[in-house]
Amino acid sequence: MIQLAFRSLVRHKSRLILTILAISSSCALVFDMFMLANGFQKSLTSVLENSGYQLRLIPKGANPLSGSLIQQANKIVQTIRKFPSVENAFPLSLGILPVSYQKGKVQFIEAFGFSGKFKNPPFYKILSGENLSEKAVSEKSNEIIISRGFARKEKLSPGDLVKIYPFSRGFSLIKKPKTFRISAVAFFNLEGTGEKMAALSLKTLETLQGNLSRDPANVILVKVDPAENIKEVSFLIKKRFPNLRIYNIPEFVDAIAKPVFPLDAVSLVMRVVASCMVFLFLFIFLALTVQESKGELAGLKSIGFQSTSCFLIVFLQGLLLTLSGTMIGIPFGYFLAQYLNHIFQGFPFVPEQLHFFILTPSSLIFTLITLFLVGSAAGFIPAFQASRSNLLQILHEELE
Amino acid sequence: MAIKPKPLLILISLLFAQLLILNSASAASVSSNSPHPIFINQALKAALSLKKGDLIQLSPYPQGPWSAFKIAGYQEPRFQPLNLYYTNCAVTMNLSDLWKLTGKKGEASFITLKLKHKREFKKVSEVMSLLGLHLEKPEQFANQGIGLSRIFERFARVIAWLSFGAGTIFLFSLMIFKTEEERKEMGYLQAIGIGKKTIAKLLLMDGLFLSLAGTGIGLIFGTLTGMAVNSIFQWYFHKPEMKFAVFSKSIYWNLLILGILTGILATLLSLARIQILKVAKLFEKS
Repeated sequence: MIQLAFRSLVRHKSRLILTILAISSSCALVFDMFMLANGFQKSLTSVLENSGYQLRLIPKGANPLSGSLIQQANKIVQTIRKFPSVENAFPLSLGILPVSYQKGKVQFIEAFGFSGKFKNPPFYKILSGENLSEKAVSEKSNEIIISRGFARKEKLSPGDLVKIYPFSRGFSLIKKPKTFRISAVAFFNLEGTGEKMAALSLKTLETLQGNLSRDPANVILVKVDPAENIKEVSFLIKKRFPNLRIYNIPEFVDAIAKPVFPLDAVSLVMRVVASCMVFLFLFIFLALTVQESKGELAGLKSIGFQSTSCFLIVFLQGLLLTLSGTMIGIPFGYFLAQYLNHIFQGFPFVPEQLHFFILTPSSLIFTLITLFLVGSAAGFIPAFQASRSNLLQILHEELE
Repeated sequence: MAIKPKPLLILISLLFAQLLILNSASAASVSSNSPHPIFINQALKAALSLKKGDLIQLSPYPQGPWSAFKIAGYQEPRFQPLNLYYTNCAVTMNLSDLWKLTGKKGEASFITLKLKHKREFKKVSEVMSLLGLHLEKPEQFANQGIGLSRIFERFARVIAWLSFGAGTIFLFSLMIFKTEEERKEMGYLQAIGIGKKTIAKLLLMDGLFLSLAGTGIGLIFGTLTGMAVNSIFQWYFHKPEMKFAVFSKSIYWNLLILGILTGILATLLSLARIQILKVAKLFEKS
């Protein structure tokens, strides 16, 4: 039966090739949209997991992106460090600082303020120069670490001096800037292409921002070891600090990725549109094929072929077309996804390490299932028509 | 025009107290003893079952200190591109009240300027840059503030061209189908003396009619899909004013022209096939 369906398809090569090309373009789109659906979340999860810190604490009721502050963050961190299975914890703040250097004009950089005891903070990796000393991290200091993109763009290197303006009452050039020494150039995990970032001690950042009196931080990161004890640690933190909301990595990713990039909604809409296109192409092609070969089908029936066999011949044609479209569409979709990924990486503040289109077994399986269902649905009605073809009726139509 | 130091700065400043400020609130009178008035939006009203005259407490920190405000009325903030992703609950208050609440006196997320003449933009922009401030036109502010629209535009273009390519290829396939189906009729027409030009005209008209009908139906379907997409995103972001798919005359005209051109191209392809067919060959085959 498959052989018969195949022969029937390849009889008209040019139109078959064109139809397969059209179907494969739509299949590629379906595949890309499945890759897009959870790609960003998966990529962000992987970057956050690499940091080794599994829990993130922010003020209860606040949006993780809102920049809300936790008061007395260092005190909270000290208490959390004493909990069993907590390997480390540290407070982190994000701020914007006006910076001037080499007699250049003032530019704004994103600054991470942190404190704590560790050799390598989990959010950057030193490329050249020396990390902030323990004293520079715990106290106010005039040392900063700058991002690779910042250093490259402005030709800065360790040992150079930059001026940072206090930003506590809004930016004004009238205020006197403070001079800082670049101690190292680092790669920041969440660094966008050419994005200007810096890391300095939490106290220094908060002084520049005028928040020191409350010892604030935007987020507290907690590292649990062994990782199986996350639930127990979360319970302890929740009990001790009811005003804090505890996020594990998947929850945190959900909370920040979904509102910022509604890609699951975009993906869903595009998946439906692309599936409709596959359906229409297949349905029209098969309906015309059945219309064209009504006589042949009736002839087959007259020599003993059953209605089910006629149904299967057309239905299998639909599936063969879908299969061919999928086989071409998936590699094409993969390459197209690389280009679309490049477009999405143009989003402001999107870290280089993050990807939007991720090839996973689930995205491939869901694509195959969707296309199989669409192919079956599109082939059903033409196949049903084929099964009902009647020799006498067709001869009558031909005579008319 | 808006002066913008950096997009993230604005976002962070905007969200710092999770409050939304609109100038209209400054009209509200402030007395030193009684709770200061604020306006709430419908989402906040529904979420906390609030009504006019109720007291509401706000704080920049979850642990306090809290300040009491009296709900003076309801006001739906105008759509702000920079406020795309964030909480749908919003209050509108006097700027000085926000400063007191957050302790950030004198800070503003951005300054809006109304220029007397548009041509002054460059001059004002240069003055502002000396102060370390960045002046942007409204469209730049909307586009670069988040950068979403530009990125989505590029993405949408790739998808649109891919879909258009798939549709065009399929149209070629259909025209070949049609030519092969009508081959016998064309042979008869040629046999009874009708010239190739007349047959070509017939087929061309046929193709034009098909492409016009297809483009027309496609435009209606596209408009309906666009409206559905808008509704989905408005629901998703809780922003009834936001439009992702914008319909303009130029889009309709461009698509109509593109549709007709594609139809003509597909017909010409089928015509090319007819030109190479010989009448005798047709009869042999049939």
